[in-house]
Amino acid sequence: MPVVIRSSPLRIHLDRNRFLDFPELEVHAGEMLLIQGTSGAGKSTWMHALAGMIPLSSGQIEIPGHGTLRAGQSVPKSWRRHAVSVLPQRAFFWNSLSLGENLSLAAWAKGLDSADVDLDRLGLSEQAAQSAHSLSMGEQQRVSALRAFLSSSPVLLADEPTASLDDANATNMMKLLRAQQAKQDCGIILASHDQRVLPYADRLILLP
Amino acid sequence: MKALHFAFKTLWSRKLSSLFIALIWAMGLLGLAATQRVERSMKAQLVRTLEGSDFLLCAKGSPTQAILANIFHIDQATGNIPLEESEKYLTHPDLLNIRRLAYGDTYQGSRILGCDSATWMHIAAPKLEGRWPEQVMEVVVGSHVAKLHGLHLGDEFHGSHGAVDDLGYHEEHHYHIVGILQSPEVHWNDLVLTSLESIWAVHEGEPHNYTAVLARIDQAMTRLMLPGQIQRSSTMMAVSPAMEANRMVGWMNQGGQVIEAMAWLLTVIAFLSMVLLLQSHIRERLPEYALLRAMGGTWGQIACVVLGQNLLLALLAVGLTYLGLAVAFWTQGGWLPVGAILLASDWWMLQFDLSWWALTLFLALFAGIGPWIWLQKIPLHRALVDH
Repeated sequence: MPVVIRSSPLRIHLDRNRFLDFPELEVHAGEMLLIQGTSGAGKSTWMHALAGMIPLSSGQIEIPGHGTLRAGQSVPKSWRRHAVSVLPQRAFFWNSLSLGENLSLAAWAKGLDSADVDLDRLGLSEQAAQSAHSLSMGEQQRVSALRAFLSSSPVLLADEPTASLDDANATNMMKLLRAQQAKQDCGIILASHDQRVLPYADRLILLP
Repeated sequence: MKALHFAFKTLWSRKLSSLFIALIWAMGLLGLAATQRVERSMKAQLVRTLEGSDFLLCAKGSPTQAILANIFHIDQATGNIPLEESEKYLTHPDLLNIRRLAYGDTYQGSRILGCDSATWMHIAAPKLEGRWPEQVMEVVVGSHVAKLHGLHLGDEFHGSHGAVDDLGYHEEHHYHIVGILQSPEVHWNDLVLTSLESIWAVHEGEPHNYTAVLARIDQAMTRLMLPGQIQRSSTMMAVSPAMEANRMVGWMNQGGQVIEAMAWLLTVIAFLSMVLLLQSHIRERLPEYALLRAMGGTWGQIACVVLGQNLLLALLAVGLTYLGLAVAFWTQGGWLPVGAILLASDWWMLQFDLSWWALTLFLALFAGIGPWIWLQKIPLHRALVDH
């Protein structure tokens, strides 16, 4: 399977004196890489660095076909629009917009004409005109996952996607990620301290 | 269009504060636009009314009062001038379209103005029902007077002496209505017009006087010199209405400047409110904008949403301003000074609005730039993690 993301060892400064080091990384299409570690180990920081949302002190990240993100240089154009998708730890939406409009907003941000999201699949088609906050936490998180898959990016970065979900919802979420991954043939990097996601991962990196 | 839709929904989620800002802004713009319009309309009306009146001969007194009384017919005349002495000066070859006026009595508070046929030929675009007076004691009543007193063609009435009713009536002299006049120069609609001879007939036994004489002067030098010559060599006053009117416009402008200053103040308050509203909104919704960036949204797209909100507020303010202007126009009778009128053609000259449209647009965009720059300085990962 082709490599979808390749990273050299990275160093990220949290402030002038504190920094975190991350190991070399390579993820293939269709692969789900789980990053585990204690709280404060830097899982989220690593995810945000891969997404180009936090500057690198050293190292580089390459997404074949979408350029290379190097320390000290600006994030390649359209990095988050086409190369990586981000699934934040907690699903959140624009309060002023309905569920359907939130998906349109995401499509607009990704430069797409419309949001091709099958809300029927989640049994939520009737809630499209309602506020996203009328959904349960599990439903919100699943809509958030579908939103992240909108642009068919080669890499999906999921930060603790099951952290606030009960067992049933956590299972649904992981099944949804796997099913969508199979459809889009992307690589998923999942940061989580949740042991329930372990059976779904292909590979594990444990952060000290 | 999508950016405007998202901007609209964002404003809609805080309807009251948005409407409040648009209202303050509209009040500022309304002050600016209305002051400009009133000034423009009044000047245009003044020019129209003064057309052909380059020279006013009347009794000595206040020139402004003389103009108000003899051209706009809204003040008491400065007195009478002897007919013979006046006629001596009216032979000047540069005096054209000479109109002689003699104020006589009143009918239940409405003035009866004696004048020659040159005067009524001078009235702008009159709509006359009936005809102009041909015989002594025939009158044409203005449409307001007819409506006010329920007068019709063929009716008769008698005037009362002087400007008020309690000085005695001329019961032996009956005026006969032969016409009803409606003119866009509304001061004519408040008068009863008759011939000079009718006025003199009612005041039988008294010397024949004029109240004023108006004329056109085409020669600039004569227009400048003749009033001074008459002032020096007679007991009468001669003024150039155009020069006096310029002074009156100057006073009007002073009043307008106060209103304009208040309007500017309101506009500045609205601008600051908009900046503060936008800043508090962005602080409150920081994670949402961070999410938009995390999803791939560009700074250009964020600018469209942020500035779009201000643009929509500005459009709402402009809409409310025009609504206010329309209300001001419909209710002009209630707030304009007596004798003044705003014509739709002057009031709705939209090309003069371009300056405050440009100002509104500039303020809307300028108010959004600060918050947008501030937004770019917020670390994206912090905004997401803190949420």
